[in-house]
Amino acid sequence: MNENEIETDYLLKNLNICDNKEEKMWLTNAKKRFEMFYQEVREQPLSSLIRAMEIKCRRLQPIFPQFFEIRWRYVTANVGSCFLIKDVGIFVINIPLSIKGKEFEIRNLVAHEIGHLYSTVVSLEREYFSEKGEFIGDVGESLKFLRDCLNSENLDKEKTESYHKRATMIGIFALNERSKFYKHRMPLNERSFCKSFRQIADDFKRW
Amino acid sequence: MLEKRTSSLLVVKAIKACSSKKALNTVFKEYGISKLEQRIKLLLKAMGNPSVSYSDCFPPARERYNTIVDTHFSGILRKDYYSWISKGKKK
Repeated sequence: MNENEIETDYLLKNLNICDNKEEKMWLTNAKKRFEMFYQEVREQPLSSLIRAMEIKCRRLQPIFPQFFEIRWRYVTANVGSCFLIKDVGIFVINIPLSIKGKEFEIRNLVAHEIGHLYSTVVSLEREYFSEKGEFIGDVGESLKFLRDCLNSENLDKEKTESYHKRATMIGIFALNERSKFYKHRMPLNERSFCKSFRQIADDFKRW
Repeated sequence: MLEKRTSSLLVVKAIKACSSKKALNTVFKEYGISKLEQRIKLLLKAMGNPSVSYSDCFPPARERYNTIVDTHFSGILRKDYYSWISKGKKK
């Protein structure tokens, strides 16, 4: 038996609900439903990087709105891309359908596109924010700067190449950090990361 | 010059009204716009001039066009698609 297989009886006993039919039923249904939900969790590429980038942008007031969001989606086109809407409320990463299921390729692409946003945002901070993080520029001018840097449709060849390489550099940094985590931190914390179902259930006793 | 601008505005308006790729092709054909570069410019205008970057440094015009058409019809960049977030209302 897999040591991470959910043991219903063990859990019921742990939670002192062996005789509660309603809770038993809820647990049985929740187990299946949660497995389905967790499939979606697994499909989120670089979700912590995306979330951290959203928070970084939201802090840059008054340039990004409080509800700034990064989304990703599959497209039929053969090339990956990213779009930033004019009022900079949403950043969309387009992933070609042809790489669906290819985890590494998807991760590389998402890291590259986030790299585009990151490198532009860092330049924006340097140009229009003080060291303390206060906005010291003109809103219209800084919005134009942000939009222009992310728009390869209007950039010259030299700048397109330069921004593209910067995005790749950031993408490499991001995946390298991720790799460092798995390579070094994982083995060090193996005991807390790789617990069996029973150990996890026991840990939850205090809650 | 003025005539060119007016006709460009008309095409943009017509693109905005399209609900399918077929209708979009008809619009471009009707206005005699066959060059992909020109189509891309007008499409982006109709989408509210978003910024766009590609995962390839210089993708061919056909790929850029397909990407932009796909994004346009997904509606994901349309203001009414996401504005409820700022208002705290469900769509």
